[in-house]
Amino acid sequence: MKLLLIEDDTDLATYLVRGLKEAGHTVDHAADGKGGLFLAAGGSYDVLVVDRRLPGLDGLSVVKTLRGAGIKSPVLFLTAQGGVDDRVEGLMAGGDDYLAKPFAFAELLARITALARRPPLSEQTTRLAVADLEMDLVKRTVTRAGQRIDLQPQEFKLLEYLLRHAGQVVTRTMLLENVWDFHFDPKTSVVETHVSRLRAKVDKGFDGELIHTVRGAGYSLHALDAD
Amino acid sequence: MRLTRTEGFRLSTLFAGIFLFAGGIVFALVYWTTSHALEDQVRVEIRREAAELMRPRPTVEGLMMRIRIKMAGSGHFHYLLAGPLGNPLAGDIAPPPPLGWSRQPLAGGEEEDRARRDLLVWGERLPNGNGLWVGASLQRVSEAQEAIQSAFGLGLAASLVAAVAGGIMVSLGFLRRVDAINRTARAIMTGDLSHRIPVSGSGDELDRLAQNLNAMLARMENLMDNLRQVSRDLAHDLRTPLTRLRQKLESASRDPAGREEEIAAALREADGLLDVFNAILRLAQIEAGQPTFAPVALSGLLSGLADTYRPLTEEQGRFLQTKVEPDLLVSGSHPLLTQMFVNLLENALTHTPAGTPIEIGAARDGHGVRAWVEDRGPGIPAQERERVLRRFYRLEASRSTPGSGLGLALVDAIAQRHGLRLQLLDAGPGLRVEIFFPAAAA
Repeated sequence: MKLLLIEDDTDLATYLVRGLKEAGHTVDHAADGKGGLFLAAGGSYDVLVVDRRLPGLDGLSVVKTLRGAGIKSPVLFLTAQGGVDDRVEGLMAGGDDYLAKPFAFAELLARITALARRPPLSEQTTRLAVADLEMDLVKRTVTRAGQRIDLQPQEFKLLEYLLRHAGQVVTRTMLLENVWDFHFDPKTSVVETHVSRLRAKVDKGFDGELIHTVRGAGYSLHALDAD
Repeated sequence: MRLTRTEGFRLSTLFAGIFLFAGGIVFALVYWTTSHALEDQVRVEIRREAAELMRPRPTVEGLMMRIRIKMAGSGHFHYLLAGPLGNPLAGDIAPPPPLGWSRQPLAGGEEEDRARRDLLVWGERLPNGNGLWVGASLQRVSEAQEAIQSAFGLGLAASLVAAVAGGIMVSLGFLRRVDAINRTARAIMTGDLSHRIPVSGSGDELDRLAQNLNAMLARMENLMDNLRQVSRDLAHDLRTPLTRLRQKLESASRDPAGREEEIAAALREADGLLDVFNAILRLAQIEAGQPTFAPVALSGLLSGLADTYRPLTEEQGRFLQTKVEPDLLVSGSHPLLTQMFVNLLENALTHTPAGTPIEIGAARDGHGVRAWVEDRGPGIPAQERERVLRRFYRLEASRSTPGSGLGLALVDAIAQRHGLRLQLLDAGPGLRVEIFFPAAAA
């Protein structure tokens, strides 16, 4: 994937660029808003990673300008401010996701992957499937190997999110934000218990595990032969 | 002099002046109208006396005799009958005054008496060419005038003394109370925030000022206490994990064998530290920020949270009961209210033994909405309930459980931001946290 990182903190930028390159991505880096805008306007990037606080032109203005110019590359905001209203402000300006510093590198990598592979018009999909697991979004039903699986509403939502990001790593924070709308870190293992319950319903008694734990990062839903 | 610069003194001086001015006007009016009324009365009496002398019309001799008889009597009138050329025939007025009304000094008597013994004289020409004058003393008038003068003089002097004395007393009282405020302010400036301004109990403006200042001081003292405690606790609470972090990094750099493990442990310590900092940052943001408020479907929010936490509670062998009335609507920030109830739920989950039942509920109460999270755990002793809302404050019993000591502080901050009433109650046994959304927030 081709990524653009706009980040003024040299240490953090060097660390991120190295990490992203090791993960197999091509990374361009700009240290300020103007330089970032210049690069973003020229090349077609799969994902832009933009720090909100930049010298000169700030991150919000950069993204607003890009969106105004019709550039639709997904944007992931990085920020030191983790306030609720900051997040809303970032999304309103045209950002697609929001990550508060400090973050684990795995978290950033998972979110970049999720943004880049977001299928177009995903809202109109009515059927999601991985291997023999199928979800009908209209009838709100789930079957595995033709067998009906009864899910609680929150389990359904969780499985839908995993299916929409099938093959990708989905972090605990991504699940909290997108499934439960929690924009803070709960102290108890809410996600873990829900995932294990879902696993018990989806994987237990069927051939081949679909929901996998990715150590130090999160979860991933895929058929075993996919990787 | 300080006294003359006080507002009380200025006011009383002003009022004394106004009072004197008004008293002067009243005095002039009374003096003038009384004098005129009395003098008019004297005139009427003189005319009546003159008419009496002439009725029925007497001869010259007869008139002279009447005058003599009158003068021998005890009447207070004076008379003169004079010939056409002014030669006196009878009476004690001399020399003959002009005809009509005039004033004559009374002959004889003491020097100082003379002025006040002026005669008011009426003279008329009789048909036979003689002149008849009748006069009466104005003593009554001047006596009345003197009485009015002295009465008003005394009265005004007394009220002036009273006004000045009252002014001084009021000013001194005012000064004393302002001094009390100043003394308190100086005491506080030296660093002791526990001082309070004395309140007289009269409920006047100064009392209200004192009460407001005292409320402000109480708030400031509370904030200062908080700040002191937070700085102390922050230093104390962070030293331990930082020390552990340092130890782990040190042993990782020395011993390549267990490096992987030590670094992972160091990362966990760093994450714990970051959690504390995030919570502090979040508290500050909630306290300083102006979150956007919108209608929040409280019933949906709470039953959603119950669904979210049910698997976890069941795993711990607990029963999570929900008693949420449908269609409850409140005004607030959805993410903040979510965090508030999550903190309360997690508080109940972490501070009560596994298997302890938990209840979450909400119901209409009057015009507002009451929401609660209740557990059957050990509860919080009454004297500790206030303190657990403070940052970093942790009960002795929960020192061993994980947590930053910021969870309830965050709940308190969110409740305050929303204008909600937060109460920690005894669920007998257990803790019941009640949050009341007043009508304005519901």
